[in-house]
Amino acid sequence: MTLLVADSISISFGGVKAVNQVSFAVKQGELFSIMGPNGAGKTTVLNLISRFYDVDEGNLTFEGEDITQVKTHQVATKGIARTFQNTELFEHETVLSNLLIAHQQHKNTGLFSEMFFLPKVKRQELSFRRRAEDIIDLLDLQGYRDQMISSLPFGIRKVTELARALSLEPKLLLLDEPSSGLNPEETEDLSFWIEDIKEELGITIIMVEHDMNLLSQVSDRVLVMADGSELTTGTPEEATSHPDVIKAYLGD
Amino acid sequence: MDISQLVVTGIANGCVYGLVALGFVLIYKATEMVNFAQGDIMMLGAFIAFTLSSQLEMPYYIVVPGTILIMAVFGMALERGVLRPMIGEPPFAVLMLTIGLGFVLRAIAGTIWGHQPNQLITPYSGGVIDIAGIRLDYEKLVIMGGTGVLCALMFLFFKFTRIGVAMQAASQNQLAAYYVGIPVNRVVSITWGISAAVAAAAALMVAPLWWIEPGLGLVGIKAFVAAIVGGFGSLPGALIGGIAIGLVEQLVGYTIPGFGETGAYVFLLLMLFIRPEGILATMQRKKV
Repeated sequence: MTLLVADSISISFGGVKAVNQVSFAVKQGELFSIMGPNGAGKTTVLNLISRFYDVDEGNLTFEGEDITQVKTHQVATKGIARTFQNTELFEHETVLSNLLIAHQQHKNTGLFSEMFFLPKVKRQELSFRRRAEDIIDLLDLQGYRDQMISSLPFGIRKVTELARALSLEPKLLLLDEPSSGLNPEETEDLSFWIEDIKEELGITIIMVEHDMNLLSQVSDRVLVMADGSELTTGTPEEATSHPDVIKAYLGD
Repeated sequence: MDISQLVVTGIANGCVYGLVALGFVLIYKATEMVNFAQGDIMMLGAFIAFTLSSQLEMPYYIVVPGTILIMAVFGMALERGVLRPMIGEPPFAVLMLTIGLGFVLRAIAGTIWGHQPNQLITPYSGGVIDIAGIRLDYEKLVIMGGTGVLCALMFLFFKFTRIGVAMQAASQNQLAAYYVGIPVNRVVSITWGISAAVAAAAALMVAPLWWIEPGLGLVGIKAFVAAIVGGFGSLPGALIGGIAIGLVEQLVGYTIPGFGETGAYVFLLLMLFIRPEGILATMQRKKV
């Protein structure tokens, strides 16, 4: 089953076509990667899917529904979560609170009952906390759960951001260069977690990534972009051995 | 004059500075802009209360929620109509805009209600109670009690409600807030509404004591001082700063007659020398 379809999407900034007529379809349960040299428009594609930008032309369908008019804050409710290359976290909160804030937005209780912490609110809060703890266990964050984000090293922040995205219980997870800034050991942990997220939680993933090892290890298919356009799409082996791709990375 | 009276007056005035300062801090935290029209929003609240009670002769139990509601809507409208189009403009432009907004509000108030001082008469006006030998006017008692209740409500609101937590989240990282599903624009709008509502509550409580006139808006300057003394960005700090300013003003004014207000600003200067991050620091010095 197809989860997300991008149908010749384009966007320009000033005179530059950052993304030019790019099309792809991501199947349910698939790990779809996007690679390409700097400035190829990979992150822009993620920003288009997550409704940070409006597409100039083309269509985006998620679960058969057009999402080009969805508001940025509704993306999470639709079942799309994302992470950022340089992490965007709530700095003055603990790891646990960062996850709980994400859960909080799915409450369906009223202002009054929340202020006075009535039983219904308490039940929801308990189930949120249980799920947050599950995610903390999954990603090995137990040692950091009560630490402030601002005191954490970059690698742990990246994992925390991944945890927060998971706590939104997404159907589609967008990862923007998850390995950037991580050391080789952390990158290896990451590759296992990504496989767990895909296999055990059944979450479909679109990942922008530079690390070739990580890419070929976890990806089902890879879209290669250069200068805003698609060069090729295929299995990691097909994509990396494609003559146009080699040319784009190494020059003529 | 007895010292206890000075302290009572200082705390009561300080609560008012503190409540207006809360408005400064709320908006600053949510949007990183300083709304210099905050005091003028309070002034407008006082005039609305005056109109509802003295001119339209509504009962006081309608005047209170009515004023707060009208001002909350006004605050949200202000954000929507004047401030939101400024998103993306340099902070200095936004700052100038809010200063200008203050002038406009004072001028409008002067045109509608005139410049002569008015007074709000409440059911409790003029009452006096004696507690342990200290003479307390009902007006001051209401200010202190009301401020306490407001602070407790705000604490519960920010700690436990979804919208309160969303406001805190959006103030820390707007991008992250969007992607956990927080409608940041609406949150900012509500923040303005709450700031204006708190200013209106302060206006309602202080209007029986102070004269209602367009110049009342200038209390915003003292509230701004209070917010800085308290540690800009800290909500409890704003209140503590307000009370500190109120007390300093009264005590200095008693010791050196006529220098009460000056004392408040000298106190600010001293604070900036000794503890520039404020009483409850939230800002860290940049490490180089």
